[in-house]
Amino acid sequence: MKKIDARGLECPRPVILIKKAMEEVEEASILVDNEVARDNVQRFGHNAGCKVTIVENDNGTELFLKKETEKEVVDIDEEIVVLIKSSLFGEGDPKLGNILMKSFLVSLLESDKKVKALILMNSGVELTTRNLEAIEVLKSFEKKGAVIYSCGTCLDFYGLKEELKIGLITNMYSSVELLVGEGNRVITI
Amino acid sequence: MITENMVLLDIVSDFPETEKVFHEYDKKIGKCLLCSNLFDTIAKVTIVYDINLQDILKKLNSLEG
Repeated sequence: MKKIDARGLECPRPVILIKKAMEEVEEASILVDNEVARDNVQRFGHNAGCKVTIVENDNGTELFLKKETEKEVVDIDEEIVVLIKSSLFGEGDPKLGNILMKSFLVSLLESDKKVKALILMNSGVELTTRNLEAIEVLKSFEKKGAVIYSCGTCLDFYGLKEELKIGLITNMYSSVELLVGEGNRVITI
Repeated sequence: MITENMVLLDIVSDFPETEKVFHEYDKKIGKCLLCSNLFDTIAKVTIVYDINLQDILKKLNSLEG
């Protein structure tokens, strides 16, 4: 396995280094020391069909990328993309909506279905910023390989960008690409 | 030749000298273009940030190769 130390390098250098490494080997790891590099290396890995494992340690963040086999790639094509358009599940009493949203996330997490990504739009971004209970559940999704995306425009609109506690920031173009991606099963909440 | 359908990461990876062209737009858009849109195409970022497509292609291709 090729190991890269990209500490001190600004984006896009770390991503270019891991891209070139993955053109030569099946597995590589890269050590980074900033969030932008971590997020972009993670996104590169997923785009390139790699399994990405993230380990935080005293030296920084180390990302391990491994190319998926053909069978694993087929499995990924059958994964679920969840579009969450509100911080609450359904209409009606907000308290009930909050309970139901947490229940939905936990139930989905515990199901045997593979979730590829969760996209949070509109007030859904509260789930990645202020809703601490939801953030804990979303962390478990990340550990199982899902990528959490929060809409950048929505974070800006609600003034929550600085409060983002998990996942990556995305835009409508990238979200649509995921939603219409071949083989992706989309669940809208 | 760099075209509108090429992804920023592929461009800076294959033609490192183009990185400075992208950084020229950082001030205009208020953030690092490469950091924020590394996986998007030239066409997409020009729409999102109201950048003149022909201008940026001209700048990039004047450096490439």
